[in-house]
Amino acid sequence: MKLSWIAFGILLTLCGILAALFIIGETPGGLHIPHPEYPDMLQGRPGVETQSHIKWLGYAFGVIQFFFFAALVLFCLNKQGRLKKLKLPILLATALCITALTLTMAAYWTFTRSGSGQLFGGFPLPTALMFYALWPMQLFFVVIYVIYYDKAIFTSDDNDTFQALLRGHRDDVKEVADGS
Amino acid sequence: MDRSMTILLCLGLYMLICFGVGLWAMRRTKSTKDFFMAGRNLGVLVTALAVFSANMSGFGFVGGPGLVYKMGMSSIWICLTAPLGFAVAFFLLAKRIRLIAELRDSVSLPDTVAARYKSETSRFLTALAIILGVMGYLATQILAMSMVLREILNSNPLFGGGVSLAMCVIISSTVMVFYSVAGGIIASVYADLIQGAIMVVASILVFITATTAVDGGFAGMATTIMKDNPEAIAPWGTLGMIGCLSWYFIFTMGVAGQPHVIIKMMMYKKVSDAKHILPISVGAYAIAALLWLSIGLVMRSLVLQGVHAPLANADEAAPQFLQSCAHPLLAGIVFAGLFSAIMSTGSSFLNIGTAAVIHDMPKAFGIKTIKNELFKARVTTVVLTAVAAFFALYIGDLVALLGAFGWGTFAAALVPTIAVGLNWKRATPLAANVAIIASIVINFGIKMASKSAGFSVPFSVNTGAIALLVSLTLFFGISLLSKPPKLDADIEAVMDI
Repeated sequence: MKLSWIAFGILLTLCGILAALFIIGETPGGLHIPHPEYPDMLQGRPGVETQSHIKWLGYAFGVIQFFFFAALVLFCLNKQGRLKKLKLPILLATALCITALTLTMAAYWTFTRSGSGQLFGGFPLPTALMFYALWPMQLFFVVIYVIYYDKAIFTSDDNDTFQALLRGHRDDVKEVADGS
Repeated sequence: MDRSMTILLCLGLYMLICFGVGLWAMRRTKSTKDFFMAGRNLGVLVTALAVFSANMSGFGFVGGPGLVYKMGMSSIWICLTAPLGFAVAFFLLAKRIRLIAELRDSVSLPDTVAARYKSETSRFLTALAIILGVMGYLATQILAMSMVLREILNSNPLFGGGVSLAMCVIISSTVMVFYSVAGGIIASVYADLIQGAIMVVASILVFITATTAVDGGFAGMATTIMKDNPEAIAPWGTLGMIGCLSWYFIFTMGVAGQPHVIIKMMMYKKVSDAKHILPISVGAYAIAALLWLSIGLVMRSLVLQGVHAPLANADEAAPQFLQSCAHPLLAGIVFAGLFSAIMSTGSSFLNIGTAAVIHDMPKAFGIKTIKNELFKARVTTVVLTAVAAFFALYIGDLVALLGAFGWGTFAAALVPTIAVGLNWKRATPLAANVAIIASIVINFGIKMASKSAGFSVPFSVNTGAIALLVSLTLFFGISLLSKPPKLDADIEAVMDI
């Protein structure tokens, strides 16, 4: 199946998830309340009360986003056989991000049920996973870009092709200018 | 020397540097291409820091810490997007937009859109979205800059507390307009360079200060916040899972639609520089995000511990932290950084808006050659600043409404049209036009509905995320269901590279 249709399918799925969320709606009382003592500070209501009914929809909304980012990048690189080199690293980086998001979410539901927890690296486990797992996993996309730039994104052949194109274009412009 | 005088000196020094940059850049600005595109001759470090600082802006200094103070960890999902957001933007655009800019000698984003789609309507709509967004952003930047300046001047005994907001608007706009008119985008990107460097240094120093401001460092802050409200220190903060994930979506994808960010991808010297620019931008952003996170957490903890008085407004988190916890010199550097962040972002918007008004709108209406374009661009820059300053001072409601035209509208309008469209030959002008109109209508519509009818989006889903999702879906759907368009041969060839 063509990547453009896959990207379109993912977008329709994301729209469907949002529509479902809007139909289901929030629990009475909302997600947060003003802090009883301090102005302009909010307190979140426990996720187990306010968000457990949309737990799986939320998870799908997060995971499918990563599929969309990956599909879009692959779709835009799908020229002149570049995908052969880039497909596997990008899919691996996507899988790592999804794993980190899954762990963060799983840890969150445990945390919100107990309302407390041990600290790891200065933060509760789900927040620590967000900082120390989800954030660095995204860096793989940066690493892939740097490593594969000369090999698959803009090769020396690409540069030659572009220079030839540029020369041809300048000649055309000059001819038009001379003619007029 | 007392604190207020140190801060004032740092700010004065920064303004002098701005004048210097403006004069220096003026000598390098000889053509429209120099004024709008920096002669397509920027080095790696300048471009990298310009991309990063355009993305961070003054919001990272004031709004970001304020959001952490108010909502806990929610806004971290904005910072968290940087590695993937920048990477997606570079994968999609850095090479392609740079190649098309050189091939067609483009001096603006609508120029590139017109070349890609062979459509003056697409050029017009892109320019319109840019102008609407720029006016909102510019007015809010001028207002923020003037409010910061008034705080600084009125806290200094030299001025006796009587400096008006209008006077501060005049002072700050004059500095910004001077270097923007004189040096165009060259002055703007070198101001970005200074801003980026200040932000990186200040963020490291603030982070170190913040870790010692609360007993137990970050663990102490987390424990204090968790005792008061566990959700606030959990990953979603008080906004909730769906709201945070919608922020993740709009801020990851949105980088590729911010005109003040992607325009810089048209200006670097060598196409192969992109692979060096990306990691530097991401690294700088990661360091600057430390300021965002640490100030917000420190201030929330100190208030909860009763060590600091509660803040009347969450946006006071950063200024109050600097007043009460930071060394006067650090406070001075951060205030100068804040001022430079706002000013350089404002200057970038000014340049983009000027290009849309003086270059793209006339072309969209069939005027092919504009005489004395450089002179007219400089005059337009002054006029745009004056109009934005007037909006900022006298039409607050309009500014707020146009402010909503910020990130979300740019993302929803330009990600499909430019980021996807430059990579997909099948994308049609109709799809691009519909995507831009949808982005404007949805963002404005929801804002108006919430303002006039009290409508609120369930689960705090970001309006821009909804607009982006809809505009992307329409863009793909219409293009897939339409006959593939016929492109110019050179554009088709460059899209194969």
